[in-house]
Amino acid sequence: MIVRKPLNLAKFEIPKGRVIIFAERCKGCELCIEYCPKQILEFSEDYNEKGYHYPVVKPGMENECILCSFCQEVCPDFAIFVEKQE
Amino acid sequence: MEKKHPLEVLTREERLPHILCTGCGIGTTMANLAEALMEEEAELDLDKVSIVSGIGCAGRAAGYFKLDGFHTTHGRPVAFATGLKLANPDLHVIVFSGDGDLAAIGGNHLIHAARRNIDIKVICINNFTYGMTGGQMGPTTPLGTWSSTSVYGNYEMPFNLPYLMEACGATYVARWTSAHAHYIKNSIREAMHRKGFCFIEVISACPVNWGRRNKLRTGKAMVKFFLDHTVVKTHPNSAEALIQMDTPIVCGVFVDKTLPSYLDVMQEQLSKKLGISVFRGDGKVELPEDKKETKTKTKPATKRLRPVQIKIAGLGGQGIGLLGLILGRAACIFDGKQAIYTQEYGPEARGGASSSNIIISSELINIPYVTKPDVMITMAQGAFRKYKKEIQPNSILFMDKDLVKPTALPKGVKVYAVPATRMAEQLGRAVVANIVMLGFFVALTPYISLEAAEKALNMSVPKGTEEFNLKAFKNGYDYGKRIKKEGE
Amino acid sequence: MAKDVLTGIHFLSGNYACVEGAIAAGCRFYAGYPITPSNEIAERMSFRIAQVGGIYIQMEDELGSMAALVGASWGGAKSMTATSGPGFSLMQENIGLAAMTETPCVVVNVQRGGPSTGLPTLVGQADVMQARWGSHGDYEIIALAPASSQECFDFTIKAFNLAERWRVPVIVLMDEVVGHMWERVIIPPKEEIKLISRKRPTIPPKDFLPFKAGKDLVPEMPIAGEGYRVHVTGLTHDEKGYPAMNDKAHNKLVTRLVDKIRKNASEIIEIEEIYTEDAEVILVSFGISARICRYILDQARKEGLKVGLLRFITVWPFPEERIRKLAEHIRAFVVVEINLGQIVFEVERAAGGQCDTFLIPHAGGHIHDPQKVWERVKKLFK
Repeated sequence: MIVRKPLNLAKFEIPKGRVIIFAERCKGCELCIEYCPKQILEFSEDYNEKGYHYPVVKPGMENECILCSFCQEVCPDFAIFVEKQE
Repeated sequence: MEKKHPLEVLTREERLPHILCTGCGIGTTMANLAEALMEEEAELDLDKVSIVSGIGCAGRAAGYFKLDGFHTTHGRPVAFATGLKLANPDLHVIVFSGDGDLAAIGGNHLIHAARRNIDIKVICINNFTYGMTGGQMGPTTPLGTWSSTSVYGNYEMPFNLPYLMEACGATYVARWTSAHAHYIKNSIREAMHRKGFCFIEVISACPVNWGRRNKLRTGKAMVKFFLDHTVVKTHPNSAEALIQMDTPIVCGVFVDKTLPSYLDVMQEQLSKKLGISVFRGDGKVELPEDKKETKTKTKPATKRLRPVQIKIAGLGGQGIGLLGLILGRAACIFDGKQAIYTQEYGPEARGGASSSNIIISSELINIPYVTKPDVMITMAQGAFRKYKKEIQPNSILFMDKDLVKPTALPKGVKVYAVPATRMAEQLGRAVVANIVMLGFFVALTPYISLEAAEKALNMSVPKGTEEFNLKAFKNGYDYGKRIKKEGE
Repeated sequence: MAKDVLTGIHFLSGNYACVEGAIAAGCRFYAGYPITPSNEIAERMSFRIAQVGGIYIQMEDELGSMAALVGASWGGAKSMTATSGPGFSLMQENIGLAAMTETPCVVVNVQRGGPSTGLPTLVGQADVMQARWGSHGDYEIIALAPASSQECFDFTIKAFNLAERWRVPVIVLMDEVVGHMWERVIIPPKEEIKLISRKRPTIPPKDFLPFKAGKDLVPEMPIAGEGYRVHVTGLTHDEKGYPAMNDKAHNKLVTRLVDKIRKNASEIIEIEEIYTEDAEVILVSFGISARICRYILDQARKEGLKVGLLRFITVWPFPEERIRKLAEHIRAFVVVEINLGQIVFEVERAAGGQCDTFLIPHAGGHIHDPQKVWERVKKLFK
């Protein structure tokens, strides 16, 4: 009797995403940075027009996004979204 | 090339960035609403989705969605949404507003829409405060916390909104916090699939006007607080959902049931009796054809009649009103005359002296009240006593022979008496005494034709009693004709 | 099967006639709250509107009723409510919303003695100014004053037509006497009743500006669900409908809303004049009081006194041009209204000092005593 089927890691594909940020809409709430499960975001050095730092992808982590979409769903300002990397 | 945010299809992006603060929970909820609608797009015609909001920071949400949006007055979005939905039941109506707007000033509309199970989806942003106006306390501000109008700590108990909504009859009640981004979206999707009143409470971060003064200075701090202090349950009990600062915030879906909506119940009850199966405010209803022709030309009055003032006085329950109505109908509908009919009565449903006043004329009547009755019809001694002083000299007094004992009448009053109540009792029902009196009156005065009186009587009595009433009428009429003959 | 237009000769109270007029005009949404002396309207409406597939909803209060009316109108419904003084006060907020968002709707106020709870079962005419200025801010409405059951029928249809044509709330200022008295009402065949509906958009959504108006200052009205994705707000807004919080946009919008009625007043105003051409004294009145004035007129002309009557069919917008013109040739206006002075101030203002203006007041509870009014008018000829 099979109780659980083990995950076949060879067949299972972890989705790969790309993060797009609208710097001018961001208000620096930091929720996307804080709660990204792969911690690929950090605050920018410079400021947008409203004077906020906005998220940027940490250098070298461009391919680490797993397309969980949490940043897109928690951002209060429609300032960040993810799309699938083909 | 500039990439477009996938939710831009639904947002008025030329109005972004919106006016809300850093980390505002309203923003997160808006994103979740947009996501939910996008994910439902295959089954949902977005042209038919309307968003209605009230006043406040949450109320601004309607203005950022590329949907038919209505930014209404404070507290009224639920009532507005009720009207909108009932006018066009094909619309999906979402109310997006705040705790103060929905539960304080709008509280009455909220509980009644839930009671009626109106098919609207209410998203309530509960950020514990009146944010837009500077952070005053509201009906959901937790006990003991700071607000700009409770600087020593709030000493009012807040609402437990899921409990309230469940008690009122909402069919879907859920609560999340603005930290539970994904869950909010799922609840909205669930609500869109249910018919009936749905209530989704989103405990939202208001860092600037609430959080900041309650030791949670940023949106990030408030979200962390929510994550640390919520407990998500399957089938949580709404009675345990009161929010206190020192106990976990219970989240989950409290109520999820299927009940017929307001329109379903209305249609079921009315369609059986009316043969119509669809009811809509916009009038897009198929009605069965009705080809019956009706006359609109009045019969010209046979002779000129200067206004005759008739006062009918009796006790409540004697059918004084009906008598006046029949006279009016006879004059206007069947005799080609004009009439004005008014009533005078006190608060008693039965037994109080009341009068029915009718003026009949062949021309338009200017003064609608009987001031100097040419005819007084009295059915009871109590009424006679009350209106005695209005009896004019040389006028006519009709009375019930057994019930009225007239005294000290003015000069020249002609009295006609008929034992109307006794005759009615002999027929079987005392209640037709007024009809006996009607017949008596028609026999002895020239103001209403016999034919008109009979036709008016026929249309004025309950179905099935026409024959009985006509008999009472005839008895009174014959009695009157006999009196007339004896008098000649 | 009941029809929407009950063609034929009827004997109806003003309240009942009002309902028949509404149904004949195409009203299929009623949201209201019971209040004497308008209850008969709600009661008759509740079963008549169902007979034609419409919706009657008894809201929890008048605040919700008026809000539901505005919502239903944006859903495409011809919507109506009926109330009296205390309820009318509660409705003011959303009458303002309807005026600001240019939403057609009809509010019937069967006036009773006020202020406050006052005389629930007896007449007053003291809501005239409130009908005009009841909500806050600058706005214009249209108000009609029927004086008979037949006019309750006719003017309710007129009210719907005016509301739809000018995209404005229209108040039907009945009073308790007109509402409760029964008279002959002739309802014509359906084909003879002319109905007007709101102007619909003539261009597709992409380039459509929902609050841009042409020469008549009335914008075309989209309704929810047709793809126009219109944003409607009570905030000051631009032609797109978006909030525009600055004085320039505010001046542009509010001026247009007010001019919409003021500049088109000649198409809206209706008055009835009897014997005003050679009159020395003109009685000015509306509603049930105007009927008393007709009696005075008859008495006066019998005794050779040159009295005329001007009756407001539309009380608002106020016919000040006509008053001003008449004031040139007469000695006095005598205003008869069941209140302690409301429309008389408008008459006096419009007369501009060219003649006297007198008021015959009555605080309410009954119509004026015709004899007393006659004595007062006679005094002017001594």
